[in-house]
Amino acid sequence: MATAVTLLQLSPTMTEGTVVKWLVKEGDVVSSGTPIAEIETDKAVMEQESFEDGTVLKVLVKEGVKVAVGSLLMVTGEKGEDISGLVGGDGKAAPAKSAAPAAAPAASAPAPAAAAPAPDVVGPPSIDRVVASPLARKMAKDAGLDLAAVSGTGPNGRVIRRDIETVLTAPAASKPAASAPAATLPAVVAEAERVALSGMRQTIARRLVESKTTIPHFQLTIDVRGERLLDAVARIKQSHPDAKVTVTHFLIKAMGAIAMRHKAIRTQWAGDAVQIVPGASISVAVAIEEGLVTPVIRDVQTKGVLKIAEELRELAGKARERKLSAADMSGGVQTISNLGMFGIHQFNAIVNPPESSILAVGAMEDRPVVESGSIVPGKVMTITMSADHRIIDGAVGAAYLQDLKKALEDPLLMLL
Amino acid sequence: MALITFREALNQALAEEMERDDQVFLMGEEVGLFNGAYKVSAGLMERFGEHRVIDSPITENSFVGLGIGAANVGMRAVIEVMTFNFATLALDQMMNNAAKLRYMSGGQFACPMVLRGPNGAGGSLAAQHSQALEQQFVHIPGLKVVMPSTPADAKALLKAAIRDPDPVVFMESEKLYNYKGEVPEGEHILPIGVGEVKHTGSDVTIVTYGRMYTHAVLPAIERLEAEEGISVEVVDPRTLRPLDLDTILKSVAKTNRMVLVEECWPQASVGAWICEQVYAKGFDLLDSPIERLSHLDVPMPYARNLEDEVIPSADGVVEAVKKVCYKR
Repeated sequence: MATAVTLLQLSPTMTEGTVVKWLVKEGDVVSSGTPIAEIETDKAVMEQESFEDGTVLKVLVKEGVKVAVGSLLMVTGEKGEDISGLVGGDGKAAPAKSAAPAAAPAASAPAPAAAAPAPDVVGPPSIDRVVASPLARKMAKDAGLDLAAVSGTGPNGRVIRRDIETVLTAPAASKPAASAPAATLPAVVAEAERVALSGMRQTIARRLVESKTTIPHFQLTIDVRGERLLDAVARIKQSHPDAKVTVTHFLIKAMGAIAMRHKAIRTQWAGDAVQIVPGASISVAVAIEEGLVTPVIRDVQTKGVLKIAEELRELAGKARERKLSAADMSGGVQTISNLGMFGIHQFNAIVNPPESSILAVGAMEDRPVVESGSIVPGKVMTITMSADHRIIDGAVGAAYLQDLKKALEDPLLMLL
Repeated sequence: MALITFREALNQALAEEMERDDQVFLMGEEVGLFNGAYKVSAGLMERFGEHRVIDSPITENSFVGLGIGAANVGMRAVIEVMTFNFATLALDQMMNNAAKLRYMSGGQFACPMVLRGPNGAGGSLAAQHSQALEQQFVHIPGLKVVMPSTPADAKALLKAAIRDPDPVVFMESEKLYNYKGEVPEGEHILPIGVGEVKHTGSDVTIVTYGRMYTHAVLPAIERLEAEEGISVEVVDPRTLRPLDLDTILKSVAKTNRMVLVEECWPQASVGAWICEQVYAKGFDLLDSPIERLSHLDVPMPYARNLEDEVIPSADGVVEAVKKVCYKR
């Protein structure tokens, strides 16, 4: 029997996907587990596999086209099978699987000569984008509003004038974030090059705006002496030169260890409740050409720095090849973003939801420090935590940072 | 201001123009001795004589052609067709001669003539005699098409049509002849190609012309404003070719919603063209798709109850307005 193959939700936040490449074509034989297409989700390019054994009868989405989760991608079945019941006029899967054989009588019934369908019987094409009236689009553009963040009250969820007016007259706090200021740039830049956003860039933009506008951020900054840490790194480099251990790996190790002692760090906001994650998996911000990804090192509290270094190298490699799966990028309790290698002294990072906090790590610098009343040269780095104030109060965050500082200044304490 | 019927307004316009210019003459079936099938020309033969008010045989193609020829040599012909259903016989004269002579003669010939008569349904006149044919003429470059909705507009625009240097198709309505309205005293003339905001409002623009304004839209306005609290603006283009799109777009810019009401069939209608122009030139103005009310797409039934179902009604206008205002 013919089967509709629809776009799967390949990550928890995925609502749509782009068919980057078809791995099968019409007429190909597939079996359960055969990769059928490369799909670009909101964070990665992933393969979707077939669940069925059969022949590809029809491919319905072109490469490069973005469709919603659940949209019909292709139809499999036995060669020559009638698929009219599955392939509707709107390109969506017909509601029931039994539609395939049931559709057959239509062909055998004699077509009444005069029964040209009235124009209003033809359904509208399915729409996989923000539906808005032309006026609402213009109003949103003029106001710098992101239409996707406005809930439409018209037919098919269409965003109409009153929806934009509702947002514009709402108190500032409840307004969806303004989109990039491009809309209001003066005409001088009209000749600037326009580059369409990749799925990844769109996701980054959406998630950062969501985070910065819905999470009440606050920052705590602390200086950490680095002599013993650098010594530890140097010693391990000497004993295990292939591992290429760096300060970052120790930072991750310390975060995992100290997060186990501070429940608040492992707490996530869930609307009407909080949830406390048992382990301390740490997300690591990795910059790649297309943007920023945050692969997760799982249960850091159970791993040594060599293992952390090995896993991070592997994840960073996958990131550069755009092969990270959604699973590779979820489940962290806290993120580390290290810009020290660029000489950055201090910066504030944006919390990576649903995590509680993020650490922004600056460069290990030679600085004058006061020891026993005299100024001496010292190795110091500045760490700034941005935290979700709904979960972490100032004193709680400060106590955590104090413990983290102690562990970094005396790496032996990570073993406790 | 005088309260007179649409019929009297047309009669006054004809008489005043014939009085003003002795080159103006009226010709058609029963326009003279019988005072016109709908009495629009009442008293004119008596007043201006049988050389200027001429009863024709039942030969539309011929007497329309005769009017065109007279206009070519400098006269001002007003040709009455008993109804526009019969003007189909003279389409060749209108399309191939009247509309084209100025263009094809390089401006050597003009055709200052008016083809006028009732258009649309008259009430149980059956399929052949109830047709709305404005679209047939609007389609042709070289013709002007006027379709007034009130006695004042009818008088002022018929006078303008008679004075116009080009052929004007002037479409009336059997249902409007007895409709009364205020008409300014004395010389009153309006430019062809200029619409009017007939009713000022803020929530929706109803674009309509001819008798749909008086018979469907006006009764709907009262209900919409009283029962639904919807403030309605009505734009009557009055001339269908050339079309006053500016007045329509200005109104839609204010209300962001539009309903078009026309007394004709839906496919390739004048209203379809107006809606297309608003979509193309006013895309960003619209907060909802335009609703267009036309006849049901069937030949006009003879039975009165069925005829009422086919022609747009006040009920239909109310529903369409509520729909574009997202109140349904």
